[in-house]
Amino acid sequence: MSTIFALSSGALPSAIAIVRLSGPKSGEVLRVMSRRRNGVLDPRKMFYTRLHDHDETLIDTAMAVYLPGPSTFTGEDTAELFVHGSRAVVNTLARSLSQFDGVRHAKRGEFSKRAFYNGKMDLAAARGLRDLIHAETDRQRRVAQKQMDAGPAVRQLREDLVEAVGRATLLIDFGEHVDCTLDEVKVQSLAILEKLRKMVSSSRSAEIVHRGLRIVLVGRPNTGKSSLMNRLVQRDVAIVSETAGTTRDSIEVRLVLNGIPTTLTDTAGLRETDCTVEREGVARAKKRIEEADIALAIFDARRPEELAEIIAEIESVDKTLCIVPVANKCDLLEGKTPSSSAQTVQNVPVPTSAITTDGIDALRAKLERVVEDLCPDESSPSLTEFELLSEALTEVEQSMETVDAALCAHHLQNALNIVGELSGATVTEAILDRLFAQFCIGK
Amino acid sequence: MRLRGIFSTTQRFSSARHITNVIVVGGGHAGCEAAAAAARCGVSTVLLTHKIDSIGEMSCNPSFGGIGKGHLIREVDALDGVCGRICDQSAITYQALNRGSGPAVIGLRAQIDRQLYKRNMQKEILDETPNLRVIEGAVEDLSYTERNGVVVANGVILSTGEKLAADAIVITTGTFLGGEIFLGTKRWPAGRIGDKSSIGLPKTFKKLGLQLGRLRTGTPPRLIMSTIDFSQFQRMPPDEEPIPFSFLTEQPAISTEKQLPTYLGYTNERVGEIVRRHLDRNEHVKSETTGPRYCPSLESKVIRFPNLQHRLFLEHEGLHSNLIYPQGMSMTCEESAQLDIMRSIPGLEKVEIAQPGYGVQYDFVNPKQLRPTLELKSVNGLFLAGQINGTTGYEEAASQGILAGINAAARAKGIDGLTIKRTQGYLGVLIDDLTSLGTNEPYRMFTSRAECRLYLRPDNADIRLTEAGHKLGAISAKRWGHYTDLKNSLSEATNQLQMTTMSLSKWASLIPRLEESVKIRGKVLSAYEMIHRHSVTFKELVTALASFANLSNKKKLEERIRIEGSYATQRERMQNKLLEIERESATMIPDDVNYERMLGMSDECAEKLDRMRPGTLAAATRIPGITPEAITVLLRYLKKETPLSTV
Repeated sequence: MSTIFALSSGALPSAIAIVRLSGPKSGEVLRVMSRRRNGVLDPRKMFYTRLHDHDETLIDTAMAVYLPGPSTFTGEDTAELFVHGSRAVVNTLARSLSQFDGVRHAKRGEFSKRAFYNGKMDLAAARGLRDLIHAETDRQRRVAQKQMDAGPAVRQLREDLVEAVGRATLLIDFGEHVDCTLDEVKVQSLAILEKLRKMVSSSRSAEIVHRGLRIVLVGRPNTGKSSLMNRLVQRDVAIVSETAGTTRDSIEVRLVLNGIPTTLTDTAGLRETDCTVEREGVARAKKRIEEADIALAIFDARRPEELAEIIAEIESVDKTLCIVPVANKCDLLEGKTPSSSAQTVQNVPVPTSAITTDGIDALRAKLERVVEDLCPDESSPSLTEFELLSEALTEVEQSMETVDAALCAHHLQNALNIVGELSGATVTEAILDRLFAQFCIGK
Repeated sequence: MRLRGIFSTTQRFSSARHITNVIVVGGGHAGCEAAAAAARCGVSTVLLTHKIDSIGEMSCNPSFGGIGKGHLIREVDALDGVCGRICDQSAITYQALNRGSGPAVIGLRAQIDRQLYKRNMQKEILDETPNLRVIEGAVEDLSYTERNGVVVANGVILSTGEKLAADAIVITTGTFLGGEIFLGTKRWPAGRIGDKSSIGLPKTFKKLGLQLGRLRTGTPPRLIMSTIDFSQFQRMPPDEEPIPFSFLTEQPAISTEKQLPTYLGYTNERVGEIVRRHLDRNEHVKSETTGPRYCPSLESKVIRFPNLQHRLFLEHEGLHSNLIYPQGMSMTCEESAQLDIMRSIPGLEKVEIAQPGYGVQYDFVNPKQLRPTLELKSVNGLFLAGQINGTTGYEEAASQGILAGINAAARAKGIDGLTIKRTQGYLGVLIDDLTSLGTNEPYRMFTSRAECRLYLRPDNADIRLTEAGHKLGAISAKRWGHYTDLKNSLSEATNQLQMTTMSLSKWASLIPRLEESVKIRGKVLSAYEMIHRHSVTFKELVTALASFANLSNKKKLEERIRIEGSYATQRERMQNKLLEIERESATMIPDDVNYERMLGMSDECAEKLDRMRPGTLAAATRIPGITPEAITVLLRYLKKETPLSTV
């Protein structure tokens, strides 16, 4: 069995970087690097040492500790090296570690996987750990908890699917002896389809909470999108100038809305252009719109006719996207109220001025309401596994479309496998591999 | 002793002389396939049977095939086995099942004339198989050596005391191993009605330390055709376009017009009543031995579903036979009750029974003691195939027989044998299920047992298996030529069809029928895709494009390409799943594992695992009631490689 290592502390550069080793060679590696070749390492006692490369050059001075198994996180012999948090030091150290026979860089989640296989952690703990690592805000932590509560609903769905697969199988293997048709199987699958659809839509909001919300700012050049973004996050991130088309690339800032980590993306406007660089910016803007959960449609309060065009452009990319119209530069209206041909009762543009900061609080409040609609903080449990649930939904839909009984059973079985994985009813090596692959490297 | 075969001469053997490479004991479906396969592989083979006249006997139903079973026949045929061809020479009614459910699960099936089948099989075995001799005699014991703990079988001992030596032995004794027949309150030792059972072999197996179990099965009474009013039954005509079993068969021997129908009827309340009244006078039902869940006796159907009307099919036993086989009416109550039961069904009021139904209980060898080659783990050179391994059905027997025969020949030649994976064939599923999990009821094939159902189809069995058989020398020159021709034309045609691509509007202009159905006209599709997506026929292609002239009148090719194409997308998506299945089937669980001492294993699961003792991780997941937590614990145990601390 190989010995693995990885940077276990956060992103570099940092004050201190912790490199962790796990596996049978941990002790030997530490002895060689700290030039205690024949010496004894005092278990669980941190010591100050120089770390040397194979050709005797000094890598760094460090604190180090040797932790013999099985009372460690992985259950294996472990060593931890506390070095200075520079990229150069960590890279040199990694290179040097890789040169030892049987020592290699850890894969994603490999430490946790070893802990799991060595009986240090059960499957529920592993899932919990994954969510805990990824949780940034308190609300995310709560969703993670609720996800665990979604168990009964998923288990019921799984049982329904087991029955559906059973019926399809019965039809194939005993069609001669039972009065049952494929259409009857499909009719009974309708209820499953409905349940899955509901789960998929509620998982979408849970997933947003889990991965964070994405808001994109869209509007004609020089309508003050960058300034507005600066106001929303209350610091200067975007370059602001009087020239239209200043923002060519997409710029991102992060803030927290309703306990959800939110990314604001400022984009170049979606306008026809001959400039290659700017055209690339437009392409990127489209991609941002595709990925977004909410779009702020920003127009110059003096040119309300722009709004309808912007909305049309957004809808050309994503029809279902939630759009919040914003009438910016209200300070230049000189007392008139902004109006727009495209406005409806539900969708009154929020009047703002990025210069005087008027209306910024109102916009923030409006955004919080929209977010609340999008991801209700309700108590109903829902899964964050939007992708997997959508896949299951597609499989059930396909099972309804085919006239081939074997294909029908195949699609239902695929859906069952996915739901089985979600509910923890199916455990295979591959499922465990997928679970641990969601961990970061070093955990 | 009688001896027949291509090289048959009347000769006497001095005791323990090495007379042949492979001896196959038994002339049923497993035995015939095993003997023919070993002989095809080029080793000298002897088929040893207690009665030459019963070679190729169909002891139960007068039919071959069915759902899952038809797949097995095609796989046997792909390995150049005999039963598919013999069936096509002897079939009197082709009625494929599941025709509407799609080509992956179609159940090739036909009624077979018992006499014709037996005659054709005997001709094949006795006269037309080089390297194969047939000897009549009863096997009483096995001869083997034991050195350094390794047991090697080297021959059989006949009831006459004579010893025949060989390099490898295949035992296919069906229900004859400790067989006992039950009829009402009577019971007597026999493997089949009128045939003596084998008493000596079970003793030998016990001596070898093999674990035996007991199973039961049954057969319905046979009715006299002239006493039946068929107008009371629903007539089921033969298929207009029969699907032959063998890849080599162009046309079945008996044409559709000359084939016979079958008849469908139902049981009623009175049937249930009589069955219940006679239950206490029915030794077979009272005994605890496990019977087949999926081919149950009338008694067990009545006990489990008292209010249902059960289907029964009347099937001709032969083209000129006066016997009718009532499928679904297997029963073991006393003869007079059997007559009462049959006569309470409309149309059978005046029926006469030619031979009563009866039950058989027999010994089987726990198949977990076998390697995937069907050789016993503990006895080199000794192979088992068929009902002796706990299966039921002609097709299950034949498919094991062919594998055991090929591998016995390989053993005699001293080369590696043939194993078939779950992802490769129903035969692989069958062998893996039996050897990794064993069975506690007569095992029969179902499509639901196969994870790769969409790939393991009857139409592509040759592509899946013929080359694997060829490597072991099990494929005759004639078959190999047929196969390679087909494979070449298949890949040439596929290539040609895939290379021809054009937009849908262009396709529609060439094939006017498409005008209405085609929607996204700019989409570019190949001719290959047009075949399965828009049901375009070869005929239409030939008319539309001169370059396809070579495809005219290639009906079989067209069918195969259409089927292959319609499952291609799903198959590509399944590749990962296949690897996963193979990996888990390869994760072995050591024989001596102690489940009770595994950290975190629940008592209930430990008990189940301990009772079933699965051979692989995949098999463990197939045990009912095993929780994910238990699988996790097991995974953890199997994956933990080395001790933890090294300092």
